[in-house]
Amino acid sequence: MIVQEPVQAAIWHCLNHYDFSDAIFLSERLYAEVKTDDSLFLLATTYYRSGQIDHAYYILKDKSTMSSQCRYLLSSCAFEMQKYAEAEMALTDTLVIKSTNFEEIIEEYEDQASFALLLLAKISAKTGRRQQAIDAYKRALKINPFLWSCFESMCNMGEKPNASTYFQLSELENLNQCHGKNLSNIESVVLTCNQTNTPIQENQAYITTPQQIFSNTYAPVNNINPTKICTPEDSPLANPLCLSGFSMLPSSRIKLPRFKMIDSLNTTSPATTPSFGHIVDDFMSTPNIHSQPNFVEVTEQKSFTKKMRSHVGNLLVRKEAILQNSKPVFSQTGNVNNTIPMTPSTPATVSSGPNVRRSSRLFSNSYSVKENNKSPNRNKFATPKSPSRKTKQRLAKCSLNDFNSYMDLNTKNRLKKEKSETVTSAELKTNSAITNLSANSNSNATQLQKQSAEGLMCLLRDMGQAYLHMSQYNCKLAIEELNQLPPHQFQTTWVYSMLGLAYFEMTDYENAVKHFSEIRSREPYRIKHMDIYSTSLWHLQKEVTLSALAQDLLQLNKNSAVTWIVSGNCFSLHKEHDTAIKFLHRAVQVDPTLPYAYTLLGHEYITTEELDKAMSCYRNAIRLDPRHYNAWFGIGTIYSKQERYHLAEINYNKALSINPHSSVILCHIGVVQHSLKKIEKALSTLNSAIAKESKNPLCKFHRASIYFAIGGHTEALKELEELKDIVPKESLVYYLTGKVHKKLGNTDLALMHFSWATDLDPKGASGQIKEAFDPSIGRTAADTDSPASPPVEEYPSEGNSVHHDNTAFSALQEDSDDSL
Amino acid sequence: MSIKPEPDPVKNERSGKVREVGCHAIWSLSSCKPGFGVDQLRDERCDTYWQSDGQLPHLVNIQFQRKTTVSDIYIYTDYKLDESYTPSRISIRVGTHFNDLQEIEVIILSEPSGWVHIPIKDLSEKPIRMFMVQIAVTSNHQNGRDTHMRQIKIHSPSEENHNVAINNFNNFSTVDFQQFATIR
Repeated sequence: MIVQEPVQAAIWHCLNHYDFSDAIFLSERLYAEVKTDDSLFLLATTYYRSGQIDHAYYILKDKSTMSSQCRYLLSSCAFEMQKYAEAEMALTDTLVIKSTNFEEIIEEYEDQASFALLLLAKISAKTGRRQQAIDAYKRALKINPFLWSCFESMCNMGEKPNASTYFQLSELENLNQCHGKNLSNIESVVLTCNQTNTPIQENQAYITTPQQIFSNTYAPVNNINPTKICTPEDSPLANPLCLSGFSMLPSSRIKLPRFKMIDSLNTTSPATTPSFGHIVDDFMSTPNIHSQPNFVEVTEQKSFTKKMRSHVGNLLVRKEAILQNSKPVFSQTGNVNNTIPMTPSTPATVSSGPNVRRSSRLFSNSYSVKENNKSPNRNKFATPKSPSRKTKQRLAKCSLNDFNSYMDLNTKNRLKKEKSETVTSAELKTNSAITNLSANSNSNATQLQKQSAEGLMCLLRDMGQAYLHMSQYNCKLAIEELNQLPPHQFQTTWVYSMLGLAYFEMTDYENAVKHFSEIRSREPYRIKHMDIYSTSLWHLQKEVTLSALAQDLLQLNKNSAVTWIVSGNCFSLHKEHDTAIKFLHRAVQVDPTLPYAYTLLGHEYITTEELDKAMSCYRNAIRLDPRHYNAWFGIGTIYSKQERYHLAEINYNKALSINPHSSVILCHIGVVQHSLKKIEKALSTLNSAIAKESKNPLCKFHRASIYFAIGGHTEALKELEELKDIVPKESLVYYLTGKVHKKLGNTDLALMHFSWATDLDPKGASGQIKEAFDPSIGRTAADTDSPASPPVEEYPSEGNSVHHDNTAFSALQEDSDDSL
Repeated sequence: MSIKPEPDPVKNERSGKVREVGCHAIWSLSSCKPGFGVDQLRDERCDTYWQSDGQLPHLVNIQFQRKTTVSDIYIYTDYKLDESYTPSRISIRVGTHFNDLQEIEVIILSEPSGWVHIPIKDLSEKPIRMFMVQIAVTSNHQNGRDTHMRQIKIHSPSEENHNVAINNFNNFSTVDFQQFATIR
C-alpha cells in the first residue's frame, strides 16, 4: 500500500479545489517545518496560483540550487513581472541562450521541457530575438504538438509554419511531454495482461492514467527529502499491468455528470461523433503490435448515442478517489492537474479491445474473449450519413474509419441495438487477446494514446492552416479552410471569430458584423475579439449597435482593454473625439501591450490634428507588434496630411507588404502617387486595387478623378457612370461628374449634377460644391432664378447653416471670391 | 421675421464639421473671485461660472500654441440667473499677442438666456487664423461692475486644406463609400 505524505497531499487537494487561502496557510506551515525544495515549490505554487505572482517570485529568487520545477516556476514569475533577463537566467543558467542549448533544456526539464521552451520563446520574443524565439517555438511544438500557442505565436510573428508538419503525433516516442506523469481527472483506460481472473464487479469504476500504469520505468519517488512516503514492495508498478493495488471504488464515486453530453447535439444524430476526447483503443490499425492471435470479430454496427452515455458514465471517477488510492505520483511531483477532458459534443465511439477496457473491470484475456463473444452489443463507429464531403474526407484522413467497435462487456449495461445510420467502413475488426503485453505494453499504450489524440491533431492541422492564412491575410483561403471544419467545431466561438476577422480584413464589414453578432448572441460574455467587432460597426456607422456593445462590455468587465477600446470607438463614431481619446488612454493603461489600443489612439489624435502625439502612438504600436499594418498605415496618413507624400508612400508600402490584399491601402497609395505626379503608377496601382477587390468603389472614384485630372474626360465619365449605378446616393460622384461636364463645357449637365450633389448632401461637402460654382454661371442663374437668395459663405460657418437648409434650390447660390 | 433657432454648439461639434479647440489653448482672466475662475469657465457645466473681481473691462484671454483657425465663439450667459452680472456688451479682439490685438466684433446683448453665438469672420467671410483671441466684457446689464460668464466654447473648422490628398477620403456622404475610406 502506498501512503502519501498527508500534509502535501492536503495542500495539493486544496489547490486542486481552488481553496487558495488554506493552501497558502498550510504550505507556509509546511515550509517552516521542512525546508526542502519540494515544499518550497509547493509554497511558490500556492502563491502563484492564488495570483500573488510577485510573492512567489521573491521567495524563489535567492535560492541557490533549485530543482528544475522550481526554476521553471521562478522563470514564469519573472516573466509575468517583466523581468526578462532574470527569467532567462532562471530557466537556463545563462544569460544568452543559443539554439544549441535547447537540447540541454530538454534534457534537464524532461516532461516540462516543452513548457520551458515555450517560456524561453516568449522571453526571446519580448527581448527582440525573433529568430531564437521562432526556433524555440518550433522545438517546443515538435516535442509537444498540443501547444497551439506556439503555432499561433509563430504565425503572428510572420513565420509561415506548416500546420501539417507540426501537428503530428507520429514522431513522438511517447506522450510524456504532452501530458506529464501526473494523474488527473482524465478519462483513461486500463491495459492489462493480467492472467488472474479478477472478478469483475459491475458498476464499479476507477480510473488510472495509462501513463502511470504503462511506464515500467516509473520511479515512485524522487528521494530528496524525508517526507513520509512509503513505497510498498508490492507496488502496483512492480507488475505494471497488475492492478491489484487499486481498490475498487463504489459506484457512488462515479461521476456521471461529467461525461454527460452537455449539449443538444446528442439528439440530432450520430453524425457528429467526436474524433477525440475519448480513448480509442483500436489496435487493429496499428499492425506493429498485432503479434497476437485470437482476434475476436466484431460484426455488428450500431449507433451509440444512448449507449455511450450510460456506458461512459461508468468510467468516471473522482480525483479524490485516485488520491486515496495513493499513487506514488503524489509524493513529490504531485502537480495534480485537474484537466477536464474535452467533452465531445456527441458521444464518441470507443472501441475496446479485449485487453483494453473502458469499463471498470479487470479481466483477463481469456475472460475478455469470453465476454467479447457474449456481448451482443457492439457498436461500430458509423460515420454520418450526410456530412459534407469535406468532413468525410477529413474523417477519412484522420483514420477514424479505423475506430473499432465498442464492446460492452458489462452485461448489465447491455444496450439496445440501434440502427446505425450509415456504415462507411464495414471493417470487421478483430481483437486479439493479448497474451503477453509486458514487452509491448508501453508501445501499445502510446499507440493507443496517439490514436485517441489523432482526431485533435487532424483538427489542429486544419485550424492551423486556416490561422496561417489569416496571419498572412489570405482571407479568402482562410475562410475556405474554416468552412471545411466539421460542424460541431465550426459552431464554436473561435471559428466564428476567425471568420469575422477574415471578413473584416477583406473589408467585407457586413459579413464580419454578421459573424460577430452571432458570437454575441451565443456568448454575450465573450470579450476577446470585440474590438474588431466595434471597428466593423464603426466603419458601417452603426451607432446604436456600437453603443449597445459598449454598454454591455462596460457592465461585463471594466478591467479589459477591449472594453475601453469599444467605448473609444463608440465615442469616436459620435464624433466626440476627446472622450474617445480619454477612453483609449484607459485601454492603454489597462493593457500596455495591446498594439491596437495605441493604433486607435493614433487615429483619434489625427482627427484632432495632434499629429505628433499620433505619431508617437503609432510608433508604440509598431514597437509592440511590427506586423500591425494598421499602425504603418496610420503613419502614412500622418505624412499624407503633412503633404510629405514621399514618406507617406513609403509607409503605405510597408503596410502593403504586410497585408498585400488590402484594396484600401492600394487606393491610398494610388492617391499619393497622383499627388506625387506619378500618374501611370497611380493608375496602375488603382487598377490592381480594383482587380483585388471589385467591391471597393473608392478605387474607381479615385481612378475617375485621376482621369479627370489628366484630361481623360471620357474615361472619367465612364467610371463615374458605373459608380452611379453601384452607389447611387453618393454626392461626391455627382459632384465630380459635374466638374467633368463643366470642364467639357456642358454647363447644363454640370449644373444638373451639382444640384443633385447638393441635394444628396446639403451640408456635407457643401464647401467643395460651392467652389464648383463658377461665378459667371452662378450669378447668371442666380439673377434669373432667385435674386433674393442670401449670400452664402464658402466655409460652413454654423450661423449660416440654417440658411443652407432653407434655400430650396441651393444649387445656384452665389459664390464668394475663392472658387475654382 | 423667422425666429432663429437656439444656437447649439454641441450639436455642431457632433456633426464633425467643427472641433472645439479651447483645450489646445492657454486661458487666462483679468481677474476672478477665488473658486470662480478658469476651471469653472471650462468645465462643461452651465451651473458654475466665472466671476470677475476687478475693474471693467473684464478680459478672457485665449492663447493658442499654433496659429488656429477659429470660426465661432459661443458664450453661455443667463440673465435670469445673473441679472446685473450678465454682460451686455462684449468685444472680441484677435491678434498675435497682447500688444497686437485688434477688435473684430462687438456684440450687444439684451437679457440673454443661453448660448450666444459669435461668428468669427474676416472681411471675406472666412474664419480668422489667429494666435490669440481676447473676449472683453465692456459693460454689464444694469451697469453692474463684475460679470458672470458660465461657459465659453471656441470652434475651429475641421477640414482646413482642401488640397491635401488625404481629405479626398474624409467626407463621403454614404456609408458605402466611407467604409472603404480608411484602415482603422
